[in-house]
Amino acid sequence: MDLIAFSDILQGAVQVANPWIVFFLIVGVVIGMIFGAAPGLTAPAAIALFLPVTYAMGPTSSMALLMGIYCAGYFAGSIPAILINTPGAPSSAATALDGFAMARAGEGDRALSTAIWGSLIGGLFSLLLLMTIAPLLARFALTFTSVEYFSFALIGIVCVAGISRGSLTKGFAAALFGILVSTVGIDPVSGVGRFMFGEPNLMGGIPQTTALIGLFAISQMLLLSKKDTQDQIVLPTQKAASQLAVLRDLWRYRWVTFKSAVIGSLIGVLPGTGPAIASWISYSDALRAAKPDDKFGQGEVKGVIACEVSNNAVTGGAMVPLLTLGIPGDPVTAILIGALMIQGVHVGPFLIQQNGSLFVSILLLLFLSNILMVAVGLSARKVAAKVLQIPPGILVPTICMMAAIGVFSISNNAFDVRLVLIFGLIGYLMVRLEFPTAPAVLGIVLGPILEKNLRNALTVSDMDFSVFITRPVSAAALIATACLLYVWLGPRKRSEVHPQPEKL
Amino acid sequence: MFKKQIIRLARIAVAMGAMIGGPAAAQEYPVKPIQMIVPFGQGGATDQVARLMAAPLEEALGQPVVIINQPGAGGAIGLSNLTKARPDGYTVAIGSDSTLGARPLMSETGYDADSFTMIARLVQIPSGVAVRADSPYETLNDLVQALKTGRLAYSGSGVASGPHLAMAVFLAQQRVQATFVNSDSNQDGLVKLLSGEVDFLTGGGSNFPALFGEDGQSDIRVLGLAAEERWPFMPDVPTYREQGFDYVNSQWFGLVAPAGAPQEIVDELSSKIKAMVETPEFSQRLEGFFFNAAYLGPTEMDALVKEDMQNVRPVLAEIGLLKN
Repeated sequence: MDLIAFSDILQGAVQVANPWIVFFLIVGVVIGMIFGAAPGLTAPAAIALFLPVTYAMGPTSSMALLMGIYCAGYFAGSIPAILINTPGAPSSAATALDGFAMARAGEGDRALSTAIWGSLIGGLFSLLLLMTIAPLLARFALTFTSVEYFSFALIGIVCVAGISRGSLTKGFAAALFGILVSTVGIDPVSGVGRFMFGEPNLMGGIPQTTALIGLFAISQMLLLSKKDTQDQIVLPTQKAASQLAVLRDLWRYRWVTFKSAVIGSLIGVLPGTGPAIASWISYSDALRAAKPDDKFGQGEVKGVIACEVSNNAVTGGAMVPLLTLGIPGDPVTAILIGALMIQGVHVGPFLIQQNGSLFVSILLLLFLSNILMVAVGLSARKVAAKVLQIPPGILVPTICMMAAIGVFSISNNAFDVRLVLIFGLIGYLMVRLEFPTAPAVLGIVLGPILEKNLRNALTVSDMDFSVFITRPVSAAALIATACLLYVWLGPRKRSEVHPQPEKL
Repeated sequence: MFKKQIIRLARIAVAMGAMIGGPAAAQEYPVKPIQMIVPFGQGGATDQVARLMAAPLEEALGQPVVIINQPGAGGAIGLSNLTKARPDGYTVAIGSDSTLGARPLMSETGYDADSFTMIARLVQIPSGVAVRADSPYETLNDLVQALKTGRLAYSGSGVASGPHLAMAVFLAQQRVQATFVNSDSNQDGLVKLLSGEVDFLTGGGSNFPALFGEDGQSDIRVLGLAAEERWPFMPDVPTYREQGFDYVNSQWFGLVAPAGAPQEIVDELSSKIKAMVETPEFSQRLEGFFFNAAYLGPTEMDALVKEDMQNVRPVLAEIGLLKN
C-alpha cells in the first residue's frame, strides 16, 4: 500500500517484536479462549471487561491483548457448541447444528480440529483482504443503504427453512418467537416502548446473549438434570482426529471454505453486522449448495467449516471500516474505538496515514493471534474434551453459575440473571415440545436488523416499496432469497426431506 | 498496610458513632467506597470520562470510586437503577442532557427529572450539523433554504438522543421539517450520510475532528456548531449565531445522585469535582476526546435540565414522541 512508508513497516515490526507484546498476545488468546468457551461470556464481553486494564498500557500492548481476545474469542464459542450443544456465543449457534451431531457420532475431536483450522483460514483470509484492498472494500460497503441491509438479512432469515428439521411450521414459529423477543424495549425507530410491562430494565430490550444463553445453555442444563436418563444424550468415546485428515477435509471442501471466508469478510466489512449473521449466511449458502448425500444437521463437516471459517473471517473484515473510516464493523470493533481513543489515537479516515506503524503492528498482531489461536486451541481441545467426563451433578451447577456470572457481567444488572432463567425455561419447553431453538436465535439476531432497515428504508423512500427491486444489489439479494426458498421448499425436495425428526 | 486498615476501621467507627449522633455524619463522608454508575458500555466516551475522573476523585475523597457500567436504552437503564439506590451519596451516576430531562417525557422510564439530585455538570460538546463534502449546501443557510422548498432526510445517534433533539428543536424554530432516519450510533449515522441515504447528519462536535486530515481534507463538511463562540477544536467552523441563527445547544454529561441526597454531601462532592474539573491536566486529557470541561454547580445544572425540558416538550409533541 503506497500509504505506508517502509520505515513504518519496520517500526511496526519492531514494536511487535517485544517479549512483552508477545506475552500480552498470549494472555489475550488464553483469555479469549476461556471467555469464548464459557457459556454466557462472549468475546465482546471479554474485550469490554479487559478494556479498562489497557488504559494504563501502551497502544501496541493494549492492541496485542485485545486482538488476542478478539480472534480466540470468536473461535472458542464453538468448543461448547460442539461438545455440549451449548454455543458460547451467538456466532457459534450454527456450529452446534452439525458440530454437536458430530460429537454424538464420536467425532467431536474432528469437529473441534476442523473449527480451529477453519477459523485460522477465515482469519488469515480476511487479514489478507485488510492488508491489500481495505480502502476499496470500505468504499464499496459505503454504497449500501438500509435497503441492502434489509435484503441481506432476508437471506439470513430464510435459512430457517433450511435448518428446520421435522416440522417446518415449528421452525417458523420458533423464528417468529425470536423476532418477537427482539422487539421488546424502546423501539429504535419511533422511540416508543414495546412489551415493557412497566419494567424500566426492559427499555434496552432483551440482550441477545442473555436470550441465547437461556435458550441453549440453561435449557440444556435443565435437560441434563432431569432424573430419567432415557432422554439424556450420552456421548460415545470421542475418537482422536488426525490433524492431517482435517486439513485434507478443508482442502476437499475448499470451495465451501473459500465462499465462507469471502462471506465472512464481507459481512465483517458491513457496519452494524457481526459474526452471528456471517455464520448463518455461510451456513445457508452451504446448505443451498448441498449435494444429495450430504447430511447437514446430522454431522456434516461442511456445516462446521462454513460457520467457523466465516465467523473468524469477520475479524479482519470488521477491522476494514474501523481502520479506514473510523466506523466499526462489528460489536468488538465498536469497543476498540474506545481502546484506541484512550491511547490518543484518533480513529477516522486518516488513521493509517497518521499512524502507519500502528496499522502495521495491528496487522502483525492479528496474524500472530491467529497462529497462537491454533496452538492454544489444539492443546486446549484435549482439556475441553474432558468436560464430557464431568458428571452432570457437577457440570450443571457449574455451567449455570458461569452463565449467571456472564449474563450479569454484560451490564452489571441482576435483572438479566432473571431474564436468563426465564429464557432457560422457554428453551426447555421448546426442546420438550420439539421446537427447534436455532431458528429462535436466528430471529433474535436478525429480527432487529430486518425491522430497523425495513422501516428506515421505507421512511427515506416515502413508503415506496419499489426501492427494494430498483437498487441492483438489493434486487440480487432478493433473487438469491427466492432461489433459497425454492431449493428448500420446492416440490422436488418435499419428498426427500430428512425422514426422522431431529430431537434438537 | 495494616496501619491503613486500622485507620479505616477507626474512621468507620467514628462515622457510625456520628451517624447515631445525628446530622454530623456528613462531615465524615465518605466512609466507604462510592459506586459510580456509568449508563453506557466500556470504551465509550462517557465511560472514559468517568474513568478519567475516578482516580483524582479517589484521591480527593480518600475512598475508592468504583465504576459500574450499566448500558442500555441510551443511558436510561442505569439512571433508572440509580433512583432505586439509597440517597446517601454512595451511589451516583453519570447523566446526560437527553437522558435526565427529555427521556422521561417520552416513555415510561421509572424516573423523571425530579428523581435526581444534581451534583455537577462535567463536560459539554457543542451540537453540530454536517453534510457530505460533495453536497450542494455550503452553509447552514443553504440547508435551511433547501428545507423550505423540499423534504430532506437526516440522521443522528438514536431517536430522541441529544443530537436528534438538538436538530429537531432547531428545525422547529426555523419552521421547517425534515425526515429523521434513526441510527444506532453516530458512526452508524455517518454511514448513512456517506452512503447518500440521508442528506445531513446531526451530532456532537466531538465526532467530527477525527474525520479531517491535517490539510483539512475530508468526506464531510461541517456546516455549523451551535456553540456560543467558535469551538477551539474546529476554529474554521462558524457558529450558528455567526450565520444568523440564534441557537445555542450542547450535549453534556453530569453527575447525579438519587433525589433526597443530603445537601452537605452534594456540596462536598460538587466542590471536589469543581476543583478537579478546573485543573489543566483534566482539560488536557479531555482534549483527547474533543470535550470541553464545563463545570456547573447543583443549582445551575438543575436549572439547565428544566430549561432543556421546556424547550424540548413542544417539539416532542409536534413530532409525536411525547408520552401520553
